[in-house]
Amino acid sequence: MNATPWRRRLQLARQVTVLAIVLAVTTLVVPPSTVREAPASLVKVESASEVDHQPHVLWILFLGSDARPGEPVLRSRADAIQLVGVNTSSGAATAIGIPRDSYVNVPGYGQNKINSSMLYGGPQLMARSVGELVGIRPDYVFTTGFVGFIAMVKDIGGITVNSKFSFTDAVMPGGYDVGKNKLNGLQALIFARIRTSLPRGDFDRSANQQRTLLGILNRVRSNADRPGFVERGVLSVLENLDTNLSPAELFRLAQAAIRISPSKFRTCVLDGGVGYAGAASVVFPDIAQARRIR
Amino acid sequence: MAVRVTQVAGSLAKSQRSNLERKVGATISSYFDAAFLSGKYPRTDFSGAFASFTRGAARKAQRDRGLLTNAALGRSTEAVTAKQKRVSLSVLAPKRSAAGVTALIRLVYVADQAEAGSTKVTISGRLLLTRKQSSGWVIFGYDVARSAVPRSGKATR
Repeated sequence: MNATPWRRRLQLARQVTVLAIVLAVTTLVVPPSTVREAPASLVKVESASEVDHQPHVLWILFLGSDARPGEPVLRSRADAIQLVGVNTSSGAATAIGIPRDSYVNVPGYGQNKINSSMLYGGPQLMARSVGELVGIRPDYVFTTGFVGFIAMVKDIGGITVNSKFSFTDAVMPGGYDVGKNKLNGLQALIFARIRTSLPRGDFDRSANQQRTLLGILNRVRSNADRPGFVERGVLSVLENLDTNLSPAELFRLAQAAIRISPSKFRTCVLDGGVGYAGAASVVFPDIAQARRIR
Repeated sequence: MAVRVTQVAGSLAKSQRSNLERKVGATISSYFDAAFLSGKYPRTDFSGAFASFTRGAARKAQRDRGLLTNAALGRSTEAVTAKQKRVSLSVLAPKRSAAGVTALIRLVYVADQAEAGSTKVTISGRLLLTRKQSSGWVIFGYDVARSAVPRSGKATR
C-alpha cells in the first residue's frame, strides 16, 4: 500500500530500459524494406459504401393477404398493411401501419374497410386507397400470402423480433416472451397476424407487423456480407411475393434497402376510434394524424 | 484478372457463366485500370475513374475518390504494378438469366515512389452491378475498403 516513490521510479526505469532494448534489437534485426506494409492486424482500413438508387426517397406498400388455400392472394382481403418510406441516401426509414379495419373511401367503391380494396381491385386499388388516406402514393407494392411469407422467412434462416407483449400460441413452445424471440417462418406469421391476445387488438398487431419487418431487415443486414445471401433473398422475394418490379430493379432496391439502419427505422401506427359501420366493427382512422405522419 | 462465378441464386448454364465472367470482368477491369493501374504517373487527374459506374454512383464515388482511386498516392507515384486481381461473383439469375451481380473484389498493387520506396495497397470489398440498357454491365453501388496509405497529395480532379 505504501509503495514508495523510489520503487515506482525504479519500476518505470526498468520498463523504459526493456523498451529501449527491444527497439534497439528490432532496428538491428529487421532489414529495411522497400515495400511498407504493416502486419495485417495493424493495417488501418478505410472504407466507403454507397448505392445508387433513384429516386432517393421511395414509398413501398407491403401487403399481407389473408387468402386461404385455393383463394387468389391478390384478390383477398389484406391483413397486413404497412407503408414504408425509405431514404436510400440517409439510410432512414419510416413505417406507417394502417389497421386493416380502417373505414375509408375506397376509390370507385365508396366507404368501406380499407382491406376490401384488395378484394375489389387488387394491390393497385389498395395502393390508391392508402394513397388517399395518407396522401402518399406508393412507388412499389409487395404482396404476399401465408405460404409465401413463411417460405421467405425460412429462406433467410428465421428472424428475431422484439415483442412488447407475452402471449401464447400452439406454434410457439413456451409462448412469445416480452423481449427477443427467435422465430421460424410459421412463428413469424403468427406473430404478425395474432390480435386477440393483444391489449389494443388491431393496433398492436400492426405494431407487431412492423417489428417483423425490422426483424427481417436485421437478419438481412447481418448476413449481407455472406456471398450469395442477398441474391438468394431477392430470389425468394421474387418467388414468394407479388411485385411490380423487374428482377434487376428488385436487386437494386434490395441493395439500397440493406443500407437502412435499424436505429433509423421509425414506426407509427395510424390511430383511430373503434366503432361500427352498420353491423361491421371498424376503425375510424385519425385522418389528420395520417396526413401529419408522412 | 481471375473472375469466377461462385454463387448462383436461380440457374445459369455453363456457357452463360463464362459469358458473365467475361463481361462483368471487363467492366471491373476497366474500373481497376482507370482508377488505379493505368494512366501516366505521377498522376493527379482521376476524373475518368468511374466511367464503369452509373451516373448516380459515379457522383457518389467522386466524393469517395480518395479511397476509390489511387488519388492519395498519385502525385508521388512513378509507376503502379498490379500484384493480384481477383473477383468472385454472386449472381441473381431468376428464369435462367443474370439480373444482378455482387462482385467480391480484391486488388493488390504496389505504388513505386522514388524517394519514399514503395507502398503496397489492398483494395477489397463488394461492387454491385446490373445490366446496362445497351449491353454489358454497370456498377451501381460499392462497399469497398482500402488498407491505409500515407497521404502524399490530393487529386486535383
